[in-house]
Amino acid sequence: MLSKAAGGRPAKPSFVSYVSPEEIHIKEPAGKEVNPYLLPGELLLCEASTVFKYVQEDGSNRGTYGKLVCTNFKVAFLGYESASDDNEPQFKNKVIGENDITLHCIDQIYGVYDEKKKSLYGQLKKYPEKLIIYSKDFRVFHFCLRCTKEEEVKRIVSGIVHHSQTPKLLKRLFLFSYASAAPNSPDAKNRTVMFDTFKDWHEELERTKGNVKYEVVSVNEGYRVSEKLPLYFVVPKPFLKSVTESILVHQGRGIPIWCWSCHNGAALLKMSPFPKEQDDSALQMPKLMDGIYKTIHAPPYEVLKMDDLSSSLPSLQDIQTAYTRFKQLFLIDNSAHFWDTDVKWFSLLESTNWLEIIRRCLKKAIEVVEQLERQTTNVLLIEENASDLCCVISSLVQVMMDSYCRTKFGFQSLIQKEWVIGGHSFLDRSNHLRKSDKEEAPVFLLFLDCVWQLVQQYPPAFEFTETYLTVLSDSLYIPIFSTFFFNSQHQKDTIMSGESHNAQSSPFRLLTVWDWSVQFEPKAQALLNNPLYAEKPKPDKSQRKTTRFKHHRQLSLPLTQTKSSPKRGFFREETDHLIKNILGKRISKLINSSEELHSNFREFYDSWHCKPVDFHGLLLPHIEGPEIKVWTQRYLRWIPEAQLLGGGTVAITAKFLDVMEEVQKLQKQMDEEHSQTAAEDADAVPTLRNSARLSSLFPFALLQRHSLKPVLPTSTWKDLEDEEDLAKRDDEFVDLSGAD
Amino acid sequence: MMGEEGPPSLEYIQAKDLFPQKELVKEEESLQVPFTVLQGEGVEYLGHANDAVIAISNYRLHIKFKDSVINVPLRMMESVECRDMFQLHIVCKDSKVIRCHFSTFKQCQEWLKRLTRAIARPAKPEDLFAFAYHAWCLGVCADEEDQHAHLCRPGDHVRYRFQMELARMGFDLQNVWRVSDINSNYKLCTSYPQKLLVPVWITDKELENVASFRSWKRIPVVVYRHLRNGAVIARCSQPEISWWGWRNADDEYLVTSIAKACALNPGAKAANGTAQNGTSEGNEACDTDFDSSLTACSGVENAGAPQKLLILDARSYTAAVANRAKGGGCECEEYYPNCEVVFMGMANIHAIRNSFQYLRAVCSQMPDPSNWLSALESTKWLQHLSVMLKAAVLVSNAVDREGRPVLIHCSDGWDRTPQIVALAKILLDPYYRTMEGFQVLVESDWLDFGHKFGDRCGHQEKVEDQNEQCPVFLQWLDAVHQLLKQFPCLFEFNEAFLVKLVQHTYSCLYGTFLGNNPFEREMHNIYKRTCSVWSLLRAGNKNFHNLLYMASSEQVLHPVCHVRALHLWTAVYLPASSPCPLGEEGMELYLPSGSQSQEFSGRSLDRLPKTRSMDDLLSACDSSSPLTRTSSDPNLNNHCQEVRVSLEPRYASTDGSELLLEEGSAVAVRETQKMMTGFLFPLM
Repeated sequence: MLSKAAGGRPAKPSFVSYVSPEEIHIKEPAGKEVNPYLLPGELLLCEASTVFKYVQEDGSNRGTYGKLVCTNFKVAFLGYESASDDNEPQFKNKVIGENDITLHCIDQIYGVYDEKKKSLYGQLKKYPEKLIIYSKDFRVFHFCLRCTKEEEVKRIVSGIVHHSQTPKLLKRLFLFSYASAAPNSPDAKNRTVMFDTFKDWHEELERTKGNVKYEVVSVNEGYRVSEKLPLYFVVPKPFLKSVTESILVHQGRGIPIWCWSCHNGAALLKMSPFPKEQDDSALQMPKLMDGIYKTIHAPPYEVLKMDDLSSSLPSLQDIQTAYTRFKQLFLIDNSAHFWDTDVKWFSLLESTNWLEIIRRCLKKAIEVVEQLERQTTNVLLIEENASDLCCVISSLVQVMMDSYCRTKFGFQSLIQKEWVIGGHSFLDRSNHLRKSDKEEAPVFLLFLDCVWQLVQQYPPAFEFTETYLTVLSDSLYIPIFSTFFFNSQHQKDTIMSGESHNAQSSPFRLLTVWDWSVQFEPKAQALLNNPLYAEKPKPDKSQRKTTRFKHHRQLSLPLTQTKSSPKRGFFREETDHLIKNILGKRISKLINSSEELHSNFREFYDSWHCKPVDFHGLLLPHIEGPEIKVWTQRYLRWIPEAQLLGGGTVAITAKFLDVMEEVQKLQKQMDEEHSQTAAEDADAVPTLRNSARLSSLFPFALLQRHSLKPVLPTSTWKDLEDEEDLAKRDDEFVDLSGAD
Repeated sequence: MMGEEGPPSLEYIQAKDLFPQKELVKEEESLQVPFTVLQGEGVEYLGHANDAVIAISNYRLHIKFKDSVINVPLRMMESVECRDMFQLHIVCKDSKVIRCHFSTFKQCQEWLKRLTRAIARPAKPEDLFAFAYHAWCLGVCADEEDQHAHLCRPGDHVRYRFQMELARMGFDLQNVWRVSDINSNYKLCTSYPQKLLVPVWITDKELENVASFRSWKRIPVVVYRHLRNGAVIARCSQPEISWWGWRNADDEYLVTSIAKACALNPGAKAANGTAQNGTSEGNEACDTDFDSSLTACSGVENAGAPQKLLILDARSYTAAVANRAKGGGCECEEYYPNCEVVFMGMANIHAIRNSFQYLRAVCSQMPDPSNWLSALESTKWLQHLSVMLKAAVLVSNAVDREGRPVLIHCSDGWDRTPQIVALAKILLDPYYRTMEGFQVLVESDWLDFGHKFGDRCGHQEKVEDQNEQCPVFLQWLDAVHQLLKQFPCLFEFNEAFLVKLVQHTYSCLYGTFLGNNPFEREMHNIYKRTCSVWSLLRAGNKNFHNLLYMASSEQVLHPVCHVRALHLWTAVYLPASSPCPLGEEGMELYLPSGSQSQEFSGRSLDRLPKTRSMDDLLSACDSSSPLTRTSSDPNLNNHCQEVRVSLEPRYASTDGSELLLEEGSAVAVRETQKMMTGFLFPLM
């Protein structure tokens, strides 16, 4: 028995294969031709066969052979051995496959020449034997081209480099070929408010009860005033009547534009300042505006405080530099690289400055919240163009103060309002057209990362999960959605009218990213919703009609309802002085650097954190050093070394889903018992099967399931046999648990 | 001495009389003691600090501010000094720093003197509060025997742990293994348990020979057996090779015998395994030649022969060699056939102590947030944790995936060794992730095998050597906390349980962690004269239950140990900056009325104001908790309930908080609650 027991174990093969791929017998695509799945309007540009894709660059040379193709939409690798269908991942993107990288998602391309890594760009003289692609969603692909025919190598490498790196015309975006080729599906009913109509703005005003003192204007119809401003926007009520013409001259500069109203009547406004060099006509402007500031500084308006974001927050350049360094920490070539950087992890992280920038944004947002909430002052954010950091801060303030913005539709509407319609230059900031690196800055990602900090600090306060934020950030690079591919509403409208003139067919519609069914099946979409969300006792989001009505009635309330600030007198005397400074653009420094602000902030922050959290009320993030964390799911999701089997936050979610399912079952039983057959349609609780074995990188890790080899004892990869083996083991342990 | 056999009425008078209370020195007549004292606790000084009432009892320092409270056991304090003329600066062993301002220099000096006296090392064990607490507790209840059982006995699973563990792990005591009584009455080794598990063919004579070759006579003995494949974990101290390169044939024989014994007593799987099973195991092994990259082991074993034994030396190679100068050393692979020696490079207690002191400095003097990360890195605390986890993962992989027996040692085998052994056992065996199993684990691998709690925590009488102090156990608890964070559903206990354990490692309210080894504890009769910490952290105490626990999961844990994945244990080191509590009214709203029983009484702690330091650490409930214990004897329950009810008004006077956990554990409980709230609410 003994010898059998010991003999049952074959010698452990402990060698590491150092044979290069060409020495391994290549499994030819035995008659089985692999063809890429093409979207409507997608064209195959070039392809190369017998490309070897490494599973994980750990020196083991494991991987699969397949075809590498480049289309006008993506670069895709098609393995000859198709993955068996039974391990279909639970969470699958319908547009982007496991081995697909959209052209806009390609971050860096490297070629390996004689073991040396070189960046590939422009015209290539020599073609590499290995191609490494880093994508913007942090995947790293290693392709070996040694078995590929030379011509094909030339074509595919230069094709990928050309189509992903060279400047493009806006009209050449895949967006348009897709939209014109795709069947015009009826617009799915979406509760996200798009803010492209007068009505949307009006309703938002009513929702926040800002309609007493602010109104929607349509002066910009036809973009007469400015191409940066949306068609409709909101301004203080007495404002426009006096200065309509001067607005026209200055393209909307100097106008305080309403973002949001606080429950106490204080409002958040934004403004792009006058240009520094003013011509003669511009000199007239200040005088005109003078009156306006005075008006909105006096009752019934609250005291106005100004905040020049360009002086109190890092510049776009800083943000770009920080992110460039930061993302490099997660683009990991192999596990040796991973462990090397682990030793110095914290100092590396700190040197990127990315977390510090997040912290500063959150801090600034808390400062603004303090002024709105406690001091009941209007806050005017000032920034050149008012469409970058203004968007970050104003959106963050709304997420913190308005629980509606923490619901999924509320959050999406917020992004529409502040970012998409608000004129954030997505096209330039993401450098989708590869025109100019100077304009590139991950401002929107910065915002998502800030929101993630809030989500992980207060999970029950948000209707969406971190997975939602992660797939949203990925959607930034999928050029079938129009949401993130224009600089402004004007740009979109112009090109759309131009396109529809050209096309004889009926005008096409562009998809919005908010239609999640384009990317995910309902089952996968369920993972975007937070099962732990503490819903409001009276969910007014589903009954917006009625609440609107309620607000409507409050319209008739007298203006004087808001109590005036005791400090008003003092500030009114200061007004002239303040305005001089606004125009001189020095104002914010005077206000912001004051000691008073700092102590106010501290007091407000501390006192809020002493109190218990109301998940539907004001939410302030912790901003101390240890509380600002790395968004692990987004940045570490493809790194096998970071994976835990049966652990991580996924385990908690899975457990909750289990319990929820059980409770629902019991509830159903109870209902049946009471013969109340009016069973509410069972909200399909997504169940994460086999949750004990679930990877902590779920839902993303499953896409990389074939990766087998653990490099260090810390790695938790298991291959399929291994899992079977574990399953058997579980059975054998049953006795043990019984004995306990 | 108090005799257990004496008539009860007589006894409790004696017990109390041994610990008379000192007279209270009040600085001002009108002052009232601002907290409820524990059994046997007497306030000695009561006075005023700036905007605060300050009190020192024989157990704690209490500072009551207008809206917050600092409450810390005296033994938790490491040092007190006066800073800036008017400020007392108190550094605690669990990394907290307390500051208290006085209005005059004289006053500050006076309190400094009092406090310094109060925290001086005890002259004799009886000076520790645990003894007084126990003696006075005995007086509360008429039924002495029951009372004693509740206070001292941690439960059968702890008392009979050795036998129960042998049975649970399926040792074949007929043919392969035997329990040696060579150490009964600690004749051989005072820092080892009395019963030792060795291969059956090793004689006591041979063990004696081996003992002469190992530091402190800590011989290789077996402490764990993997049920599935029969691989064992053994532990010992370093061999005394010294510069001369001594060998010991019996030692070499014993070490290789352990591997042989494993092959003779194979696990359930190998015994009835089929050929198919064998191949899958082979794949597994092929899949796991990962350790080659870390440990440079070739690990090729011959079919049929016993698996190659892995000797894991927790030190670095250089440290091990350097130890030869002091008479120690490490095994030479040539002399130990079929063994492989691997060095883990874990730092010694002095490096860990330094690291902890840096960490404490960083946490108490929070740097500018922009420098936080590099400050954290410079403490090296997480890096040390990472190495410890790596070592444990290496052991668990060797045992679980390769079926290899492992022998673990460091220098003395009582600091790094229990860290690795106990952590690996948690990874391998779900039993140690239950409350009961965790108690058994701490009792056997830490207490029985002589981790020097007295020296490491600085409780030992008459010893003033700071060099012996080191938060070894705390560091291990931190590692367990990391696992709990990584596998939130696979532990029966919650973070509060661990935080409590940290506190009571140092508080000296319970006798569990007093003394340096089982011999000392027995000599001072500590088991009978103090309460057990497990009477508080008992399995029945719902406050320490992890609501997310999935009892059915049997999996071996494969944690990630890179520094990226490790978290600073804010509940212990930075209690004030942890996420905020829930609203009390919110809580009431969210909880179904049925569940608002005492199990959730921990929720009352949400009502406490948050402070930089600790909230009321241990109040009446700790003293009463043994009474509320739902013991296995159903008759006791009624009786206990009565006592409980009669004590109720007293709780009301202490802020209405039934169970006052300190800040950190409160935070930990809260985190779970937060999730529960979010989850329960939509269903209501």
